[in-house]
Amino acid sequence: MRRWTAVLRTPLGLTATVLTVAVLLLALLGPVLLADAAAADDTDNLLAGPSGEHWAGTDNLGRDIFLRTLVAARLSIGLALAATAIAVAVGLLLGTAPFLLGRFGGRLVVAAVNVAVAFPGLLLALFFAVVFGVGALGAVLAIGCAGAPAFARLVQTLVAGVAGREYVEAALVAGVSRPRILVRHVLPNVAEPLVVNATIGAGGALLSFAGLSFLGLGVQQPAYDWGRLLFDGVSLLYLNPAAALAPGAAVLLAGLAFNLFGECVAKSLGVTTTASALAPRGSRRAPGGGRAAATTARDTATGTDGDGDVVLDVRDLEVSFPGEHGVVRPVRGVSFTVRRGEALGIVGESGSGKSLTALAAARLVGEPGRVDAERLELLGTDLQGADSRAQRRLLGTSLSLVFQDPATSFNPTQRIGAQLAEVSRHHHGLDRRAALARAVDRLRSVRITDPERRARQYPHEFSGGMRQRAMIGMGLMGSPALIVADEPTTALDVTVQQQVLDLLAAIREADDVALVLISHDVAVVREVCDRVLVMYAGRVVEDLPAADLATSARHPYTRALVAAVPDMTTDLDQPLATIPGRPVDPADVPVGCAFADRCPLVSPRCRAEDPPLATDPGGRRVACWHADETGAVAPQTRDVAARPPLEVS
Amino acid sequence: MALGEAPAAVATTAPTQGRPAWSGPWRRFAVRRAGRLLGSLWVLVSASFLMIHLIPGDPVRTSLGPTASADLVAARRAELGLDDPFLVQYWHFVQGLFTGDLGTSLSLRLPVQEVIAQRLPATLSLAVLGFVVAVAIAVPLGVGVGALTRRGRGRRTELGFTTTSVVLGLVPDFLLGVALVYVFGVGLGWLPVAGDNTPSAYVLPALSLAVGPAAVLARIVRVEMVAVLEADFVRTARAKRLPSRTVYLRHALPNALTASLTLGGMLLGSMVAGTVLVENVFAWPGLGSTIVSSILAKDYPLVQAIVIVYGVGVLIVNTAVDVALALIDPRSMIRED
Amino acid sequence: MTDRTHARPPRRLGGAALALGATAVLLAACGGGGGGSSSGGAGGGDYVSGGTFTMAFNADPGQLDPQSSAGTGLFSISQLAYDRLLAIDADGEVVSGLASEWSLDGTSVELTLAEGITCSDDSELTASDVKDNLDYVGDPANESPFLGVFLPAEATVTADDAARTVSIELAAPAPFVLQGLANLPIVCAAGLADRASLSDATLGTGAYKLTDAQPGNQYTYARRDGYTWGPDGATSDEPGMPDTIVVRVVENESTAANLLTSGEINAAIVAGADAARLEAQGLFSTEAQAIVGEQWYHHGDDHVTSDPAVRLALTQALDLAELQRVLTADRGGPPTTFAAIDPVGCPGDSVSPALPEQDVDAARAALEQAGVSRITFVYNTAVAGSGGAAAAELAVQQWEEAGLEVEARPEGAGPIQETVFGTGDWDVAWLPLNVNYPDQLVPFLSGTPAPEGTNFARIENADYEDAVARASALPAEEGCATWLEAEAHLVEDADVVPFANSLVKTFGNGAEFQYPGQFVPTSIRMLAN
Repeated sequence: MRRWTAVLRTPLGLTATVLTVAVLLLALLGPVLLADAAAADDTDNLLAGPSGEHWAGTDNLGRDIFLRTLVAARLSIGLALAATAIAVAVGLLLGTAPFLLGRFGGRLVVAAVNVAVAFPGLLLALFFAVVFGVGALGAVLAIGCAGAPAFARLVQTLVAGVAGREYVEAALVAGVSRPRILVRHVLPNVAEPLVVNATIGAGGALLSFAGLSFLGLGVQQPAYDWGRLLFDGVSLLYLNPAAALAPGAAVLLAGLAFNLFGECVAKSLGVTTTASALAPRGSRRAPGGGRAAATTARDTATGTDGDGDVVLDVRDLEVSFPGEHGVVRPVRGVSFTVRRGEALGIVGESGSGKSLTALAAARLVGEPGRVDAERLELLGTDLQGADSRAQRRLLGTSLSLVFQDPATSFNPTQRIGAQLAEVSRHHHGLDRRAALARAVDRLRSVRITDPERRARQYPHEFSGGMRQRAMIGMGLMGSPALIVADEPTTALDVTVQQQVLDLLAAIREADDVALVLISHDVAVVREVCDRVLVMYAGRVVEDLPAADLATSARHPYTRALVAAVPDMTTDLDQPLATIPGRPVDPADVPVGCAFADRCPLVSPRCRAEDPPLATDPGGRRVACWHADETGAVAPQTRDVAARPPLEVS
Repeated sequence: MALGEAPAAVATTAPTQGRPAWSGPWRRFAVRRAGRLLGSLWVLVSASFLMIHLIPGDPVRTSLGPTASADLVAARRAELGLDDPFLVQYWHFVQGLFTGDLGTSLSLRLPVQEVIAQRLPATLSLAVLGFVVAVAIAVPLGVGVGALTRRGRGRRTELGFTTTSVVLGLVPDFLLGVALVYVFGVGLGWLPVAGDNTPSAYVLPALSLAVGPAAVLARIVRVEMVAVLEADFVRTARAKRLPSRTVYLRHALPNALTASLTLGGMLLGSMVAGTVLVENVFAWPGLGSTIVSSILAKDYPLVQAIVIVYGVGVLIVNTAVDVALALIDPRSMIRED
Repeated sequence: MTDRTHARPPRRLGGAALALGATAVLLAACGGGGGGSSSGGAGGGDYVSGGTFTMAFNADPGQLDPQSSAGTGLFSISQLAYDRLLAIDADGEVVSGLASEWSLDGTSVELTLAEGITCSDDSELTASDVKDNLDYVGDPANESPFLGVFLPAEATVTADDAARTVSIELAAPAPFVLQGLANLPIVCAAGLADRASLSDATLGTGAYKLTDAQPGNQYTYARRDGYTWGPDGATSDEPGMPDTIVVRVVENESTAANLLTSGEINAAIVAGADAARLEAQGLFSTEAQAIVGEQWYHHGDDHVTSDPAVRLALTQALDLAELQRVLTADRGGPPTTFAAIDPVGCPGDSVSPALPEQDVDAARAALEQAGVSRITFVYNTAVAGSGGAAAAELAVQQWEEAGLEVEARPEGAGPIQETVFGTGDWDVAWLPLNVNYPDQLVPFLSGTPAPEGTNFARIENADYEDAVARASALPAEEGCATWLEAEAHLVEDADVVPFANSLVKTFGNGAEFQYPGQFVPTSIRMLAN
């Protein structure tokens, strides 16, 4: 019940609720209080315009149209609810049939519902109006039956969802009868969305009734609902617009109220609506909102000073998003450089800001995110200026990106070849043919067999590994100096992961291309990279040669990461190791060292002061008050229930 | 193999002959889709045939009243062919559909197919125009607002747009039509209020037909657009440093449309039936005015035929939407329906 | 399959129904505007010949054979392409039509056709053709709705092609026979030979001929040249006559009013509430009176209304003056005669003095005594729009106050004809029946009952029949008092109760015309803007 009241918290929800309650009250009380006044004839004062006495004027018998509109609420809403009840009942019957009837009968019902649902409600209503006859009863049955297929589809979807759950399957295995399971387990789970949708459906039925009555097929005299009043009012439209306006507004308001109320409840309950049940695809995940809080600590920068060998130079990079409680900074004061041919790994748990750092460096953080940096240069060109054609060209040809999920990173509606060729068409000015030829060539270079044919295929016709290679090939359409690969193997089968890594290594070797490899997988980074940045809570906490990772990491977090990696010596019978505690929420970064709460070496200073990223004589950097202290950062066994897994990027 | 030929035009783009990977999905899609179309048609025809038999009691008695003479009832039964065995009636009905003999209208005393032929063009032109207007309004609007409100920007724009489109989407087309007549036809005198005699006479009916679906469709397009703009492949397109026009039109839009079309298709299908109400508002000389008067006059042969015509219209729209989807997004072909 | 094999249900569906109803004036008479008057902001004199005159009809004429039905739509549209032997001018006088000379002597009618009358297929109209027309209508087997209404039954017709004369010998005196002939459309020879060809084309001598028919939507007529045999010698060369006439079917009166306002059409009949705004715009209009409220009782034995006491009680239960106000939206008045449209053949007041006073208590007592608790009431939804429905609702209320249970059934123009002439599923019906001359009503108020005849209410009133017999023997004007006496008997016995007249206005925009009841094609004058 509390979830229902959540509706009241949005302005729209509150308005809809108030309106719905008002309409229902009117339906309940209107006829009781006003029936006599609304029925009072005054044939000396017929067809009068609006006045103080008759707000919406009078009808052909001199009756007050406004009062009649109020009184008509009961019949209008009663009929709409009756029609909705029929629709829900028939829908339940048809919707649960597949569950009860078993395979053959069920498929028949599903097929029938599929056909019926394709026809618009009005057409079905007209059909049933012929069958049931013209009049209020006929219209109720017609609109009820016309609404049934949509409810049937909804119930089918809901029931199928519940039927797949473990307890239902367990009950089935245990030999409980299907009708009993339906009543015991399935229907209670279906009830809530059904009620919500029935509310929306009642709004629709109200409007449908108005339509039928407007055509003269609904309520007949002397009974009157809003549709009937509208039918009469429309004939007076030019004499007294209020005569049509009053019932029209009533229909619209009530229809809106039911509809919006239902939608708001559905939204706050996260309930499936008939509309979305009709769509074959599920709803998409909403984009994640910003989070993280402010901190002023900055890393001490390592100077790289206009070295001609430097491909990417980032200094004091900060990414911020507007959040609900002020600005959130998921990346804070990050500085690093990448040299020609160098492979830099960035590791960290999810939320550490490693992907965002790469995106920011590639100028791919879009609004409302904000990127600030003291320096952000690619091949010596400042990337912080306005978006110019030259800059786009530089980024498009010299910087190539490989994303985590190749399945979603290609445009599903375009052929692979065209997607590759696009780069050259825009940045090299090649014509379609030449661009496509280059695309085929690049596909071949990433070891895709039969590239001519493959170029004409759509992404869904590629395997996962092939897609990722094609993605790398897309990056090779230009002549990249730097490849940024964000978890390039995470979404792939283990068997093809190595292929992709080998391909990256080969490209790097061949053209002296620099690589930034972002990964949660310390083992991969250790294998591929020369140098590693370890990030935590939006900051670089350590910067060290990859070779030193296993042996001489100085930050307790780095050591914990390394320890969490299973290797040949790990006893596979033991649960996987993990780092105790939770990663820091970027919206709520503590004052001192962000890792303090999880650190075995924590001291009072850690909680008071954020340690700066200090460079040692060997060029390694670390941000820790207790660097090099060997504490027992013993990995603990994973407690599935209480601890989040290490990764999920 | 007529079915195999339909997708041939598309299959010619296949680079190498005889590769089942290309023709396969299209053929399977065409066969399955045609099967569904035929199935739906059969249901439609059977339902409209059954309509007269579903009427509780004796349909002739129901329409003529209890005191009608036995002669009159018998004559009407014979006229409707109700005296034949059930299956024979069904056979005649289906046969009539194929030979274009749909019986005689009881109220107009004209062959039903003549009435349909006379009335269909007006309805068809209105529906098609409404369809085009709805899409022409909804797509640019949805895409534009989607772009403006991407990644949680323009909250006010979003709220205003969503509220307006929800309300507009709920306004029944006939109410809108009446309001439009009142404002533009009578009040301002800019546009004709009835009939289909001049091109300008199409404006108000097409608008009242299109605005509601356009509002709903625009909302769907916006939501899809916002979602698509968050998609990985749009990031990929940005990473290619394409001009934003290209990113929107070549990458985001087709994908937003495929998702929108699925729901939008049903919406557009319902516009076919929406002409019934709009025609009655604008005295449009089409099937919509006819079906209402023939329902009131219990002119069963005419009602049956018009129901079939509307149903076929809806099926054509649905099929066209599926084909369009398949063309834009080949994955939709293999998606189970 | 010809439609003969289908039961054409009761004989005069669409026929004798005389367009009972609708807002239009039916069977209105002929030419001139008798009591009708014109008003409004006509430009006066600035006529522009040529162009297109568009008018709205509220009902589709259906099949176009002019002698097949007297329904409003067909009867009106037939005026364009078919002429009558005679015409009636604005003062109600008989003037020339196809016949340039005529005489009525007792039971003998002599007509001489004008010279050079041609049909739309360029053939010439002969006296024999006219005889064939009259014989066709006169043959009961042809079920023409005009028999007994516009052409007295059992008339013998002879023709002399050389002298161009047609002689009609009547079986009994018929005082209004010339006025009847002025309503009877004459079809040309080719059409008589192939009647089926008339259903979607025209073959007449009229000033216009059909060039395009779109049933349910519009009909287009083109002007014929060299037409000189119009009413009282009118020609098709009058200045201001349009080249093309388009008749559009617009069922909704408000829509028609809108079209008129926006100038898309030039003429429309508007009887309901929309007339007020057209008047306010100062549009040209002609007006004519017509009955819109007329209550009929089923006199058949199996109906409770066969009891005169019940009919009287049902009449007494009603406040007829209030019903009239509601029905006409306060724009009409009480009827005075049964044949009410201009030019009224027999002016006077046969109705008001004979009507019973409202007396609900007496009605309740009488109904209780007769053991009547329930009646079936049908009314025509096409009459007077929402006013009609409101008046019906009011009547139901008043009957309920008298202790009755009422099954009220609104029916459209078509279905209600089927009900009253065919199924007979009604006790009380509201159906206005409009004619100019009292003799035209006789087949409806007496004689063979429906479905075989046109006496759909199965009225048997000896006093009425007696008075009719006496009136028929007298020349037209002299018989009027007796005609009115006959009608009064019907009202006194509560056989038929006319209770509301309305002024039906035909509005024009961009054109003037005479349309007092029937539309006169040669009276159309297009106005300069």
